[in-house]
Amino acid sequence: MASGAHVRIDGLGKRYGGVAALAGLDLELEPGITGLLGPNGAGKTTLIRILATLLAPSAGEVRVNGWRAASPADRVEIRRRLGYLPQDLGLYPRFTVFEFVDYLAILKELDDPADRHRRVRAALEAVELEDLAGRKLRTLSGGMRRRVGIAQAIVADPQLLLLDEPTTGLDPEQRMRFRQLIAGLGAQRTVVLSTHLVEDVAAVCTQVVVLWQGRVRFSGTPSGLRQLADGQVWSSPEDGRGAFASWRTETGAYRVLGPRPSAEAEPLPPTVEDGYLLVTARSRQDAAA
Amino acid sequence: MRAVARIEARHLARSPLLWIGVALAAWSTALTFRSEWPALAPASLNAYLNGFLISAGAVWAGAWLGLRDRVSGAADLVAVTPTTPRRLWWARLTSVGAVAAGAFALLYATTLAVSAAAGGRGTPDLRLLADGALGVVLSALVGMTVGRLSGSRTVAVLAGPVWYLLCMVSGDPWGRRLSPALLQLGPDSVELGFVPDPLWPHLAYLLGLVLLVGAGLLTQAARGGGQRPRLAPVLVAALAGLALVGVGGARLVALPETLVILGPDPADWKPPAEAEAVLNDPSFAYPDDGRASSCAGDATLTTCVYPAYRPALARRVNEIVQPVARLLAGLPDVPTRIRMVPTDSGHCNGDEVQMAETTLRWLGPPGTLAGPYLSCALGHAHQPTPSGNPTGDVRDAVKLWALAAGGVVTAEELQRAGDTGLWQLGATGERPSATVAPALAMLELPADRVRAELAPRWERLRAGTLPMSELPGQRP
Repeated sequence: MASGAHVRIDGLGKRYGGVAALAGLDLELEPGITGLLGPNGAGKTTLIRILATLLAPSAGEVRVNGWRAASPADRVEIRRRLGYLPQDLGLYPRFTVFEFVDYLAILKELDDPADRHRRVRAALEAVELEDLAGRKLRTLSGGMRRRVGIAQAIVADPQLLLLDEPTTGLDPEQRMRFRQLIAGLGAQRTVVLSTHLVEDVAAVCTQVVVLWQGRVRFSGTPSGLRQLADGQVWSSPEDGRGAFASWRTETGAYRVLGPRPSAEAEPLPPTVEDGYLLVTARSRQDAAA
Repeated sequence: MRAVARIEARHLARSPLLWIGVALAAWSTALTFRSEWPALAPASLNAYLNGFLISAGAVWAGAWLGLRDRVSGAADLVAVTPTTPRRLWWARLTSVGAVAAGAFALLYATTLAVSAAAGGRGTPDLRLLADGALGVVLSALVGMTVGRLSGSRTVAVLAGPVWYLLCMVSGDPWGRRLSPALLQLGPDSVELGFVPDPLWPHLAYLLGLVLLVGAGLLTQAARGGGQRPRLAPVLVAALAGLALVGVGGARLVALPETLVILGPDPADWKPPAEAEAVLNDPSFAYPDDGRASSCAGDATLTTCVYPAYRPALARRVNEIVQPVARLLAGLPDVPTRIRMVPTDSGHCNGDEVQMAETTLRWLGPPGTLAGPYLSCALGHAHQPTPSGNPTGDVRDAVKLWALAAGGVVTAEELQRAGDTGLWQLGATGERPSATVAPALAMLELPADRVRAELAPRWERLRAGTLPMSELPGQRP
């Protein structure tokens, strides 16, 4: 069983032309599950791709267990310990599920065929694809393809597991199983989970990082993120004017995120999502100011 | 990386792209089988020439492999593995090379097996196997490079036919020699091989191209993966490739385009301009080198061919020519032997008619076999028709009669030829009707009577001085 990787990110910046996708990021990632949250364009995928050694940063550096991603020799060492599920997952359509995971396992230097095949079977079992091992990838649904992607990411027992939108296309039951799987993996590894789904983060992450326009706006635990919204969540008969967010619930009352909207408003226990919405809303305000 | 190479090879071996080419080549080779007498050396040449159809399929298969990561979107998954691009692409390169070579080898082996089952004998030229395989491997590598560099399915689809046409387009002799497929290999003989023989230099030339393209592809892959390519092996491969291309190419260019075989000794293989005078000399005959030793026949006519064609071919030729030979049997200077030679047909040597190996191998229309025999029998080859003869050549009339009486052509065909021209029947007369009409008149008579009436006039007939009116059946 792999132990987790220690990831250190110092002053990380990435520019695409004149646009800064990441700006001066400093982070330390320890064994456990780190959720990357942020709206579209926040820089989550860019950060994941830099961590995956696919993109070279414009500034700063990434070290994994002390290996510098900028060094070609170190990069190979990082890749030896890396599992990666990209957001836009591509598979070889003519390969079977088993062949494809096996192929990538070979590229991940699992050289002993018997051991490799055992690991491939275990990975497929973990994502409940063992019965479809002989199916051609072109015949799979989106959710099944996503599970193949997860299987190839975990097949070599990586220390650092990077998952970019892993639950896209999974049904609720599969998402629940995926959370169980990730929770188990995160006990020993460093898992970075980029997602739009706050409930995934709330369910399994030990750390959460909220990105906004390439900057870290929050880094801490999910409960810490939730606590940011303490005293900021209300049940009100009226729409909250000037609130960060407000929406009508099934009881007919409004859930208001922000200052107390009215004297009749009653406080509600916050969720991680409330904390996230508060962070992004404040970031938007700061940016506007 | 052998495991990757195996997986890739397994997939390539199942790729319809490659097998489209193999199927086309097999179909084309099967067509050749229908018309050519089986022998292993010509069969190996057919496999080689038709096998280049595989190259289009190899380009497609290579191109698809070259662009697969990009088109499928799996490039990132592959890139984040610790396997360096150079190692990965080396594995892919070897797999595509092995499968492409295997596809050609399969066609080659199947062609030889079918030929052997049909009775083909002799020794196939294994250099054709190596050359054809290298040509197909080069095609696959070119496809892989095109696919990798373009990343475009459209370009990949077009690459196959474009590459095939580029290789097949007949340019000047140099261009044809420097093509990955040697299309100008003749004349070829089961006994003497290719004259001139471009195969060794072409093999070196192709190997050099494979090394150059392979080294280029690996370097590009390594650079694309942000890896600094290891200079030494790439340099060695590139330099070796350049040397082989240079030496092989120079030798190919230096070879004469074609040589005429005037004898078994290579000193007797002459450029066409030099050989023309020799061949036009009626007294020229290919020397008896004792190689045509598979014989069949009887006292009227015996045919001898090279052993690779077996006595069966000699029997078949005899079946075609003997009915004609019987019509004239016993008359002075009528040949009693047909001998296979590696040069052109129709030379007469005493009682022997020399027939080109390619003519006998392809067993064209019966007239192409019986015609040269009759030319020798009637003295045509020794004393050509004087030009401007207004009455037609009396020997042509007898020749046409013999062809019809021997069953080689029908009277109707003869009649039609009288209107359209006699060259297809091997006659040279400038006035078809002047020779066809006497031939048809002789055809009305029993063959024995024609022969009996020709016998006292035979010498004058062979000299071309017999008046047409003295032929049997002519009205005064």
